[in-house]
Amino acid sequence: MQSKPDMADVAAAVPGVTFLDEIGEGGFKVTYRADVNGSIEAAKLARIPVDVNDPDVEKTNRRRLQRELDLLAGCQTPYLVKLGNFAAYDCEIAGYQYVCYSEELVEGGCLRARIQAGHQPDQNELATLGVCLLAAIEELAGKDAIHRDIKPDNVMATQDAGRPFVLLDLGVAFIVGGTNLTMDTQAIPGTRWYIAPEMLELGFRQSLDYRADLYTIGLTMYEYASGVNPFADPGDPPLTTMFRIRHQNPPPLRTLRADLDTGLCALVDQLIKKIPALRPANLPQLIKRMEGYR
Amino acid sequence: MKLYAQMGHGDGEKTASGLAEGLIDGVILSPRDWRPDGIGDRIGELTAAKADADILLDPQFYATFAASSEAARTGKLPEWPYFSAVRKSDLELSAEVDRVLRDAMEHVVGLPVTGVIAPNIYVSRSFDSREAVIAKNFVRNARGVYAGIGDGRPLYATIAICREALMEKAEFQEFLNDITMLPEPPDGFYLLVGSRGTDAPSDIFHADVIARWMLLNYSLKINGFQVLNGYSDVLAPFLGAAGGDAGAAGWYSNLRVFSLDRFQPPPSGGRRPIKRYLSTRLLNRVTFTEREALSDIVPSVSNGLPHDTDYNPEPDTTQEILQSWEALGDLAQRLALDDVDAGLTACGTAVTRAEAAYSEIAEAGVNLDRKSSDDHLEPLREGVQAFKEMAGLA
Repeated sequence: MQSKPDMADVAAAVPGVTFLDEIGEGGFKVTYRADVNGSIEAAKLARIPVDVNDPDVEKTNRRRLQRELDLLAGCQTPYLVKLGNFAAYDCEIAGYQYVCYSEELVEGGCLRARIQAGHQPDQNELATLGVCLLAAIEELAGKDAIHRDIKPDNVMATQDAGRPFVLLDLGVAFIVGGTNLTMDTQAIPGTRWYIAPEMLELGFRQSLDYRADLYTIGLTMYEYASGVNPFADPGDPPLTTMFRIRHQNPPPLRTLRADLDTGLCALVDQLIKKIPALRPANLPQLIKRMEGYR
Repeated sequence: MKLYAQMGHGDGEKTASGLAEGLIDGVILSPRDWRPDGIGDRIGELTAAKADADILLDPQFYATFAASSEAARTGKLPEWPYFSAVRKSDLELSAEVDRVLRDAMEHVVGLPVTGVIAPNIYVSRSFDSREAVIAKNFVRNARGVYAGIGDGRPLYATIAICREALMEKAEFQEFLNDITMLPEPPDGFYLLVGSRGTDAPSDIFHADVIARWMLLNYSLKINGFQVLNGYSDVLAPFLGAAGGDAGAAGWYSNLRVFSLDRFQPPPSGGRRPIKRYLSTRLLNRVTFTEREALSDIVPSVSNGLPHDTDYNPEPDTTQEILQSWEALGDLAQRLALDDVDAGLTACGTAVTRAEAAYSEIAEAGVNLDRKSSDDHLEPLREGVQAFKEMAGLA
């Protein structure tokens, strides 16, 4: 986040929360480990984009954030992060508008850290990841919502057998910032590697549906299994990455993980097809198929 | 992959024989060619020939716009109580779409069919047209209306589109994205791709048309739908390789390629069709005399299947279609494999072998009739390749 506020200033602006340390940072959001009435939670500080020439921009962004928090509050699946005990609180720090709220602190490590540590999941773990993520977006899809930001950084692996993988960050950053936040790929390093191909089309909002999440689930599984994001090269300009996302087919997962079941590899490959209609969209059937590989 | 008889005028014993011999798995009945009061008896005869035959009826509502012309060749279709000539503007109302769906499906469920094909109109231009909007409403509303009827047999939504619609990539993909995310989906789809005419070689043999018809099959199958390809003939095994569950072909050229020409006044005259032989090696039909001429020079043109013996001497029309179904079934068995990659490889091999056979014919100095030529092979090869690229299988 540009001009990130000092934690002491945050503590001064947000009463009722003891900020312990910073544990994450995105383009428009900082996450802290925090004590909320004796409970250790993840306190999120989200900057609200404003436009001095258009007061509606701030209002719209606040409404979007609240809508997403309401959505999260209404979700029952264990595979989505839950809201914490600190409700949305508006504050101003160094001239910027923020909303602070808390989520549960999911103990474990994110998939990104595991990938970087060279971890390779076995078939059972990979299929379990698929089942958890699909179940999470099934609940969201039932509420006409799309996560839109599924990636290894936003998935926590836990030691809890009841929820081995938990999906974080319910698209709030995207919703808060709207188009500019998502498409401003230079401002959010990494995110551009996890954009579904249809989101690179002009006017994509007309037809966007949860199959964009199927794509990013497939891509996350592919990367977790192989250690490789086939579209990512940090040295590439964004347009090159986007070209790859739209036009380049990744090597079949089977070629990188010959030890995995051919059917599971083919299913992951199918989820990252360029055309949404080529991704299997019947979620109950898809979850059942994925469960078959555990 | 299953193979169906695309029924039409002059059935005689053709379909019953095809069913009894196990050459076809079912039939698609044509109301244009049967009176409503006689169809029940005919279905009884067909199921007597093969008890587990799939019996479907194409409501042929796509002929509705043509039916307003006095010269229209709608045959017995107007005798069917659900059929009438309607105007496009009427069908812009969702309630009218529901009425048409209900009238047709209520009638069809009263017949001993094994599945119900919902009616639809024909998209004659583009997916970005008024007709396409109406057609999508027919597809969207079919399940809801069918649920109201309360029948448990599988429901197939019709998609009847001109070949040109398939050639517009962006609009086609948008349509595909829409129909694979229906809130109330049917069990499957009955796909008809319309040609500008039914003369062979058909303009359906165009790389883009073949590729996108295959993509339609692939996408629908991935999304859990049954896919029935009407009037697909030699393309059926290729569509099966992409995931299609069934193909269909009949005995006349207008039962092998779909065209609304069938419902229009004929240009003039007409002549008895020349008897042809479907060569699995050539992926095409040659005339009876051509086959005789080639039998010693390029023996691979003959299939080596039981109905080959019907071609000595010249077969009758029934023997001719039985030979076609036998050859199509053989091709489907070899090309329409469960594994899509393996099926596509088999398709490529089949085209290569056909090209080699045509080269042999050319080297032997045999001149073939235009309809028997190798004009279909380049679109087939390019179509399969284009499909693989679009489907991310290349």
